[in-house]
Amino acid sequence: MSERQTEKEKMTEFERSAKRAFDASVRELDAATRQRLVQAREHALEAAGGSKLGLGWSWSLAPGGALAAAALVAVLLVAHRERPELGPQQFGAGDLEILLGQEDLAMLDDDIEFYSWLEDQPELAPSGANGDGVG
Amino acid sequence: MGLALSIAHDGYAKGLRGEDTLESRVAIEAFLREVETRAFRIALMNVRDRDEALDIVQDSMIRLVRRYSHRPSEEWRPLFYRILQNRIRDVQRRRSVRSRVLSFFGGVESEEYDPIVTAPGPEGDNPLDQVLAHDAMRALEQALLMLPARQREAFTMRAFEGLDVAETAQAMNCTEGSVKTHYSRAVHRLRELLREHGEEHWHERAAD
Repeated sequence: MSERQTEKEKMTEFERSAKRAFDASVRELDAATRQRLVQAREHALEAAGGSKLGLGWSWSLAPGGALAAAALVAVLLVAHRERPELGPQQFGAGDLEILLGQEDLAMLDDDIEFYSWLEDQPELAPSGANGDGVG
Repeated sequence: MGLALSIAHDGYAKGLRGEDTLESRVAIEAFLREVETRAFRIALMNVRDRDEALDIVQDSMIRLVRRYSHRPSEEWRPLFYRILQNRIRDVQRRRSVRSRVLSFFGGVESEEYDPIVTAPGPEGDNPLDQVLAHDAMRALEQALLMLPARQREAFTMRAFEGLDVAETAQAMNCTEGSVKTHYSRAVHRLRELLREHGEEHWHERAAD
């Protein structure tokens, strides 16, 4: 803590002003947003006690969002079959994975500990476990 | 994620849950309560969409609790911000792909997601708007969005969240030297940008 305090003391007036402006903007958050954050926290704590990853409610996805994404990818694949010259240049396999994926790519970087644990489970560890850029 | 990996993940999570105690749950809930509004504000600044920002915060909370709640509580902050920044990056990447898909169908020229373009402009030309208290933050946000992502991340975590260099390095998954470089460049560039846009008196407004 004392180290953090020392660092704070070293902050320039510009940095202190930036922090004050940010703190003020946080304080100005409306009650509805705060309430939704409380719900998000409760969902997170509940989901963490469940058996599947990512059980929280999504505010940004309509219930049919995953189906819509799947349909879009299907249309893209058909379009690519009919006009192959447009395909590879426009969309890579990674793009389609991003459109369809429930698991986000950069999020895999968070799982350092999980992948370390996985390496100790020889019967489960896939040969390409390190291919995601972790470790 | 493949089946084997999913099974492994569940096994791993169960192992973690076995170590859970009421005390640790209370502690991590208190931590989440402390960071949730600030994390939301950071996410909103980066994705400019309230619902997506809420999702980002919720996902980050889930990840932290599931993976790292058993870790010493002093590690939670850098871990949480690392997760948050990764999630923000994912949303931005997904938007970029969606934009290209839409352009494929609509014939619109494809463009990468550009936070500057999507950022809201000034509310009006009325000079009075410029003296609103929250205008200092608006000006800072606009300037922050013009920085490279790593500089923005370093500034956010160091200046807004008060993480020290070592914690920021952990959160950004880079060396402490890189953090110092990104941060110093960010501060320098932000001051320049605010000056270029006639923000000489920015400090005074931020102090209000």
